[in-house]
Amino acid sequence: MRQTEPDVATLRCPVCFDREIDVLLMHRDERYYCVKCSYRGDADDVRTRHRHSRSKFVNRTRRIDLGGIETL
Amino acid sequence: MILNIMHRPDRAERRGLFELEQEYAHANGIRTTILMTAESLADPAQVALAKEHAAEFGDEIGLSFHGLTHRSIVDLIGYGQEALWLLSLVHKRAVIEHLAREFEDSFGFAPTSLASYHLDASTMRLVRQIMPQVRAAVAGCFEEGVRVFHGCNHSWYLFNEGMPWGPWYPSSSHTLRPARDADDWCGIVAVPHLMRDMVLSYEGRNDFWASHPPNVMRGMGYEGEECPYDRNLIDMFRWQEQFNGGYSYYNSFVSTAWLAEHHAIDDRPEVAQSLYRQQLEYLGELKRSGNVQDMTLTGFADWYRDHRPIGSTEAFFAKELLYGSGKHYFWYVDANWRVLLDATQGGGIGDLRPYVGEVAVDTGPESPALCYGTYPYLIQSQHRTGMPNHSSDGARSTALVTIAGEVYDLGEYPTRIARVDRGPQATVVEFEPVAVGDGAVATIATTVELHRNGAIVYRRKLVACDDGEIEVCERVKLAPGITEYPQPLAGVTLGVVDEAPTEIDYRYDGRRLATSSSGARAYARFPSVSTRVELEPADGRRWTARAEEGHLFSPYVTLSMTTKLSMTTKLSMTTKPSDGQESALCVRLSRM
Repeated sequence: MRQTEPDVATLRCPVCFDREIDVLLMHRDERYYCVKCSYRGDADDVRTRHRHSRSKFVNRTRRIDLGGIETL
Repeated sequence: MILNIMHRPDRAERRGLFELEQEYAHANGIRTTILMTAESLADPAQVALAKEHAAEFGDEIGLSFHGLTHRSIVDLIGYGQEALWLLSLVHKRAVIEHLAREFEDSFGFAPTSLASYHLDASTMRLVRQIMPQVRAAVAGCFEEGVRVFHGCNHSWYLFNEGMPWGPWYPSSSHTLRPARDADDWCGIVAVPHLMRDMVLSYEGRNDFWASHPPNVMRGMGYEGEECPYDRNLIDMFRWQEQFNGGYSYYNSFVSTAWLAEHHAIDDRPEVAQSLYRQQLEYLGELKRSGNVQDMTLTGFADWYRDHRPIGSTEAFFAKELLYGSGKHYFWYVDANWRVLLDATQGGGIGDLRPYVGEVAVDTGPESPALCYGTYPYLIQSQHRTGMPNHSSDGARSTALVTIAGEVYDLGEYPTRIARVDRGPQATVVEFEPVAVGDGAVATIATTVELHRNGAIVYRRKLVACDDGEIEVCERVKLAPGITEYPQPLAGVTLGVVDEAPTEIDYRYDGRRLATSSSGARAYARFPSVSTRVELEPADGRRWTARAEEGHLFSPYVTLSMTTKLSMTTKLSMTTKPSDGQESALCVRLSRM
């Protein structure tokens, strides 16, 4: 089995992540697969799903200082 | 706001990352507390670095009980694992004595501060015997338990829910419970391992959402090399000063493993390093502007003893930061209980820990609790259903309001916190009024009083009403537990008091007790948490009482009290909202 991409050590399963569970994807050739669920896909698909997962955090790029907290 | 920055050097090969962490803190004028592990005590270079930084920057050097997989520990007890609190008493003692000796041999003095993700009562007793000089400890991870266990694919055995979110005086019998008085105190000031998001800690796994930038990366709450959430969380804790007499506390404790390639982060280590640096830069800015005071861990413990007497209360008005939901929660803790009010569910209780029962728990193989260090709940709506899902609801509190013959559940009416008043005897939380009903509508204002004597009073003010009169049924649904699964309820007793008490023992038979006379009360006793819960009128109104036994598909005790409210005069252009009547119902917790 090959190691994962050189730029990062690991990728987590996007399907399990959406259930708030960290499961490292296994990697065979160009495909990643999950041992906990039936997800499989290439690195691009994993990244796309991760981007989708983080999109629910609407304020992830918003600075909310003391004044902002007051009005939340 | 007072700040502790803690670093935990470990393996020799990550020494460079430890140096980097220290450099980030010192560059921003922040002292650190260096908590040495078995790994780093075995690395002369890291020992030397710690001594150098203590001399040059005034950093404190303490001891960490984390990472008991080092060869020296395996040689000592025959195996290695992560958690001191889960070892047998013999092994706990051996490890503490070994590390205390190693520390003194390395530094020539005994540590006054310690760190562990959890320090159960038996471990705390051993610490007091072996290292009586210790004054401060990182001793718990706020709300780490069921969700973190699931989140780590059922592999992280830290069941540590039900503690204060900020520093506390641990009691001797259960270290997550704040001590009642000096006699009840274990003798060490404790701080939590990280400050947590006080909304997302309740709603999900909170090892994502803490004062730890790589944890936020783990949760994916960032974008590129930007993570304003890290600073937003700091400011949320600063914002709490107004509710706690000007006091607020923050810490961060990032170990070197999180700045290297990590199994739970799908990004480059350089991003984790950058975000950690940015966090310390912001804290440095706040220090320079006089908004943050950095201390060492032991320095903080001494300050805490001088400024926050045992028995102090603490509150946290939490607003949701990341999803943009607008949700409000209110947390309150004192020696009697920890309570969470959920504004999105009408101000009902979402979590209730009855400290008044003084449940004693040690963890370890000799203890019946085994790995479960959690302080038990009586209400936990996230673990135990909360709002109705299938046939019925679960643990929560609410009011059922009858308007023109239709019943409405206040839990279905989201509101927001309008005002908080932290008085000496009670903390008052006022919610924005809600308009309830489909046809005929009643506008109801809820105010909750959290009294220091273990009583919570729900006040419902009828602000306006189309139908003239409504019925209010205050209702509390309870079950003791420590995880999401039900515990056996054998031994639980429930009853109502009319002229004389009527009482039944719990046998999952769906029975109901009711009374119609004035002066009625409903109550239940829960032996596993040594707590009696009683509903009683806190006004002069006529109330009727009910106590309901559940069954195996709904294993709870439901206590309720019902009264009627009307508008004293018909609302018109000239009358004021104060013309409506108000009810006040007390939920009282006491030790059995």
